[in-house]
Amino acid sequence: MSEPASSDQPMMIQVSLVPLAKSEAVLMLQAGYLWMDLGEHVKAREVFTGIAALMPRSEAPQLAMGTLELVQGRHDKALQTFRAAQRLAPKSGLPRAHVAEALLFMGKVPEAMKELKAAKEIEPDGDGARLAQALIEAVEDGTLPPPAARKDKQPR
Amino acid sequence: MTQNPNRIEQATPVRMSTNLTIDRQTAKTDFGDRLAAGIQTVGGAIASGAAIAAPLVPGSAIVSAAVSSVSQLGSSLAQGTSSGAATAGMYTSGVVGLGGGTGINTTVGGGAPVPIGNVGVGGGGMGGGGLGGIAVGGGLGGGGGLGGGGGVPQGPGGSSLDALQQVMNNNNQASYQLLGLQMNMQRENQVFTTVSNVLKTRHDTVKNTISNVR
Repeated sequence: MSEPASSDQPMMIQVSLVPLAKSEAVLMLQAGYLWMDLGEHVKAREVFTGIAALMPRSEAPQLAMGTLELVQGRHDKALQTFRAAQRLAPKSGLPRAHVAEALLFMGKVPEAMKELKAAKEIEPDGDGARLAQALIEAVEDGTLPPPAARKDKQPR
Repeated sequence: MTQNPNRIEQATPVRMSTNLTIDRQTAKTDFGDRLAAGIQTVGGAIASGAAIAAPLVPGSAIVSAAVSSVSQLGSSLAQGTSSGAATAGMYTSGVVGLGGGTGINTTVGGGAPVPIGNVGVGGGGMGGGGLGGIAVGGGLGGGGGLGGGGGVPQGPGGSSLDALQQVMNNNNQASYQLLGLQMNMQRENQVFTTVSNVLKTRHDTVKNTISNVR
């Protein structure tokens, strides 16, 4: 992230409890996502836990933590974490889209569709709406929910 | 010198030609010969074409057997054997499409001008039976042989239709399998496209979230 040339002071994270430069926060988040993509989930968790402690009012670390839980297949914990992010940013559509994603992996399609529609209505042009639209298309052509989630929902 | 009206009493009596009959000097182009040549050509073409395609189709062994029989048919026709009945059987079976069920009422063969009357599928004309479905069906039917008596022994009557039916069934099954495979591939392609779209959108949103963190 490039800093403004006119400012000598680096941009600081506004909601951080301790002084934290934005570049440092971005670097930590990127490092956590890299660890997660590399399959190093423990290291990613440590990084995300640290950045979440530094930025307790930001939804970004919570979204990262929820994504990490989702990647590991812990859908319930992912849903809880995404709900926490939703509480931190109720006017953002992205946490709702992630909540819907977790619900889809749990096989709860009607609840997920409600969240997806809400995410599109909150920010029609935002990232949440784009993710919600992609998830809706995946639901419509049968890709989501995954077969394992569908099997759990079948009547016995 | 006076001419005696009685030619017997002449000094040089009428000479009698003692030359033996020789073969025909001009090209023999009657219908029978042309039919034999045409059958030989068609049989060769079918044999070569089917031999190429035989490994590619189900039941290729049956087709190969049938094709080899067609080649033998053509060669025996070229030698002038009286295998017109078998040929007529093949044609009247509708496999090749000549005749369409009507018999051939002509003379085929090298020497003996024996008319072949109305020879059908497995028919009982001269030669002891036709070749039912020989070209495609695989089994040689008709209960007879190729040629009059001394031909290639063929299978029991009616098996050619069964073999043809089996080959067609195999072809249908292969077609259905290919169609199913194509549908599965299309479905898989669609799933990959959708998943790729979702992952790309997620990546973009994460990137924007990180860069817009406050």
